[in-house]
Amino acid sequence: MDRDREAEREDRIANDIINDFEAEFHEGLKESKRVDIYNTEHLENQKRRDLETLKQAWINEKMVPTILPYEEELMKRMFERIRKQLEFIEMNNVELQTQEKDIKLILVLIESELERIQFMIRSYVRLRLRKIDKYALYIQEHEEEKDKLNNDEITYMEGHLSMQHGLFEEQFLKKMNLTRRGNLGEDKEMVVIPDKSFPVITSAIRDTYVSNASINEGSVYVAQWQEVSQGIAAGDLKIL
Amino acid sequence: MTDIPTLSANEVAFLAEQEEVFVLSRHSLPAIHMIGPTIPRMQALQRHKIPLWSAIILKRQRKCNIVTPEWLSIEVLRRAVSLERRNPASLLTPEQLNLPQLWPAMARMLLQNAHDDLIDSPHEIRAALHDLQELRDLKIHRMLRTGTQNLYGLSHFEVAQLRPLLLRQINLLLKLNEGDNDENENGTGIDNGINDGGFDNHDNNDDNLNNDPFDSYPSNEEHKAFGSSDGPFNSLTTSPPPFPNDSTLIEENPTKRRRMGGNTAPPPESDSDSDNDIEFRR
Repeated sequence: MDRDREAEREDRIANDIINDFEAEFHEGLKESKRVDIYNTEHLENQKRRDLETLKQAWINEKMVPTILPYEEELMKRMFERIRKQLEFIEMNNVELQTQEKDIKLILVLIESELERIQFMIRSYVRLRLRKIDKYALYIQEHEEEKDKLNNDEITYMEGHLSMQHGLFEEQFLKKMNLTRRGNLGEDKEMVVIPDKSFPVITSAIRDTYVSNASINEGSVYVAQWQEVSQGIAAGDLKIL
Repeated sequence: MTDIPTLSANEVAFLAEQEEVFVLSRHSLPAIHMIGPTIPRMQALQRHKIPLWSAIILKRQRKCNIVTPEWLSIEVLRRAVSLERRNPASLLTPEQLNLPQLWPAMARMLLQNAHDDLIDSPHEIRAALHDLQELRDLKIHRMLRTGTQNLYGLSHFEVAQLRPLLLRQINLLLKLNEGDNDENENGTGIDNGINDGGFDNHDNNDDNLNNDPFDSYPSNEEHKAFGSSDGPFNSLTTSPPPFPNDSTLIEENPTKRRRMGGNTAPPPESDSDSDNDIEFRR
């Protein structure tokens, strides 16, 4: 009698443990699914934001007279995603015959998108290089401008400057018995500096002020770059 | 002079292709992971929201129909025209007219690639688009004559179109305000400003210009061609056309102006679409 009760009790305990375990397991499964969904949503939002940021960075670099800080993190993520897409294309090209028939269409879509993204990145990089070429001497002289470049761009700029310097030396400065100390010499006034007063066209994301003029949300406002640069950085204004 | 940054016609079209539209799939496709947002799994006869460029690819392959956006209808466009007419003093924003920022570029691509999916007849839509564009152009030109910095209501497309002109004009005005005394420094700039067509004498802007030194400077015929020093993009179709001459600007009703025919200035947006449209009307 006692033994029976004992066994019953043990059974119950065992059942409880099993139930607890199962409940926990299902809970955990749900949890991990939720995390998965959360992660994909998170990634999806990030991709959307990144595309938007890239587009805006490209437009900004185009319209603003000075060089802007390099979008280091964004570019890293973009290059990583481009690499993944290239891998995907590579893999599916090999197995083209056996794969499902839609693979061709999918590849067309993926390749077109790749082209579009690469176009924006290329244009972005080229616009920066053009500004670096133009304002090299100015950028070299100012640390805060130099901080806006990435390492490759600094290498490029220094290489370009030293080649240019060498060429000028070789071609005429030596013959005229003139030597310049470094790239600058004494002709500071001849350094090309970006025209910070050049106007840019902006649209107001919320009600704001630009040098004492109040601007309503949604307005399109033209003003000198130096006047609006803070508003852009604060996210009150967007360059069109 | 500093070179003026521009968005070329192709670049504006590129941006318009980035906008999303609804498509009605005729074919099932698995979800496609992209660099940008994923293209969702497609099932036949269901609506999906995808970027315009991918919609056009699928449309060309006959894998989907593009759902005509609400704004690309005669009703919305005609209402926009009448709204603009009722507010002669100010330009309305694209949002107030229920239009996307790059509406002319998007409309053009949809008309080209998905004309069979449109609900209203493409010809009528083209005509309505044309009317709206002309009316807005007229208002914009009036607004620019005042030399204002606040261009309320301009859409992104119109900004791209007018950028070279606008930046030159404003740059000049701002520099003049800055250094009123220093005439030598600004001399060449003023010449350019006059010749780029921003400041011909006209009743509307006489008041604003009376105090400015423009009148006393001679204009130089050589520079009359608009955007002649615009850099690599001036050969493309978007570099804005020269200002229409004054008589066309006074004209109240823009639709009349087009039908008057030969001797008036060409409509500012003379792309292939609008050409077809004129021929159709004849």
